Amino acid sequence: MNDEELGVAVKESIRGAHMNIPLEQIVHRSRALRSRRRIPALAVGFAAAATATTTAALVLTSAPGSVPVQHVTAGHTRTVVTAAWTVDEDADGTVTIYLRQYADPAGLQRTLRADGINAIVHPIPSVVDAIQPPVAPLQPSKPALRLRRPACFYATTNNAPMSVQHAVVTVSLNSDLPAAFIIHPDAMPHGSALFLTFLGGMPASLKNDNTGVMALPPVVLNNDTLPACLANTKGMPQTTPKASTLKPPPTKGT
Amino acid sequence: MGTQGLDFAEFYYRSRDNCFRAVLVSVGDQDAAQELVAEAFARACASWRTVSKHPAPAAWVVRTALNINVSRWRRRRREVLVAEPGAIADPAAAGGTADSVFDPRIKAALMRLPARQRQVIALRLLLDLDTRRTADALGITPNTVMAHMAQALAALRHDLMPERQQESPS
Repeated sequence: MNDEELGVAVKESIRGAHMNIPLEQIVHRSRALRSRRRIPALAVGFAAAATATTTAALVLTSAPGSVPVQHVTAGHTRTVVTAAWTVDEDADGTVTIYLRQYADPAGLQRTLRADGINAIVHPIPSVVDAIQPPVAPLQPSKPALRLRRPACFYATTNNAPMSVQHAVVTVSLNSDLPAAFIIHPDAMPHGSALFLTFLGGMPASLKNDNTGVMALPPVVLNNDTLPACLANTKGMPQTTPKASTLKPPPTKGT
Repeated sequence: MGTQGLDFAEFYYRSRDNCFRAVLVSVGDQDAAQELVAEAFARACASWRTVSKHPAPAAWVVRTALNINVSRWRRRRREVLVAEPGAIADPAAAGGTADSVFDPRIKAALMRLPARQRQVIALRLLLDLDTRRTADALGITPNTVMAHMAQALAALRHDLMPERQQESPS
């Protein structure tokens, strides 16, 4: 048996061994470690919500209907688990939201409110803007840029100051799937609300599992009123993913 | 560029099994390996801004898990006499529930290797690290890595060969 064959034999011998600990448990433990080190919370770029949303948007897949809910109470913590999302209330008072799919936004809102977070969970369609770049003298005009953005700029209408945003929301995972946010309810000013929205109508792509649904980081509003520009927007249907004929959008460098 | 900017979740799902298997080979016990690797991943997540820039984050996780194992052994040693963290007196007794996921014959052969040789085997074969990265992860020189690798493979080859081949001249 030569070295290569021996190496293959060793690899094959242990192929059945798998790490079974869920990601949520790892993240939960990492939060405890960070709290112990007193590392300041990191903030995400909230202004990206008003621009081409590929920078701060987090991708979800849609799922049909509601799903079974589990309630686990251990000491002073409570966890609500569904197939689409998990809300984990920790003993230190923080609440972690794990988003895996776009489904049951009403249930997510109810659960967050039950945990003492004045939450508004509301989907928002997106629209396409054609932006004509300025034409300089002696230069040919350039083709219009097409940017997809939320149907209204809710982020600029009723936002709490950035210091509040930073204190309330920590993005634990800056990823497409799953997304996770740590909420500090004690840092929410009296009368404010946490606004969590899902952006629909995006081009179906491999990044969003061809569902065209993305999630945006939560925003703290000055009051608990749904932004006026969203009042007339319709909710998004929760549909099963379907194959897309569109090309995936170009990835944006960071 | 390496893994710079790689999201932790993607890294976890992609690397967890390989890291677990590497630590399992090193410590020989499935439950202990799960706990050590989980703690190491949690530490990686807590320091992701730094760890994501490491040339081999999976090696960082495995090295951290092995360091945690040594730290715990040192803490326990101050209280009671225990075997060294890398020593497994009875390979057949080690691993508990790992037997069902680990070929027992190869596992026993691996557990008979010295701890450092097992670690080199784990990083070179299970994490697919090259000699230099293995040396960096273990804090030893590349020449020492190659020596350990050669000795480990020779010992494994001898242990795993059928008895009739061992008796016959080559």
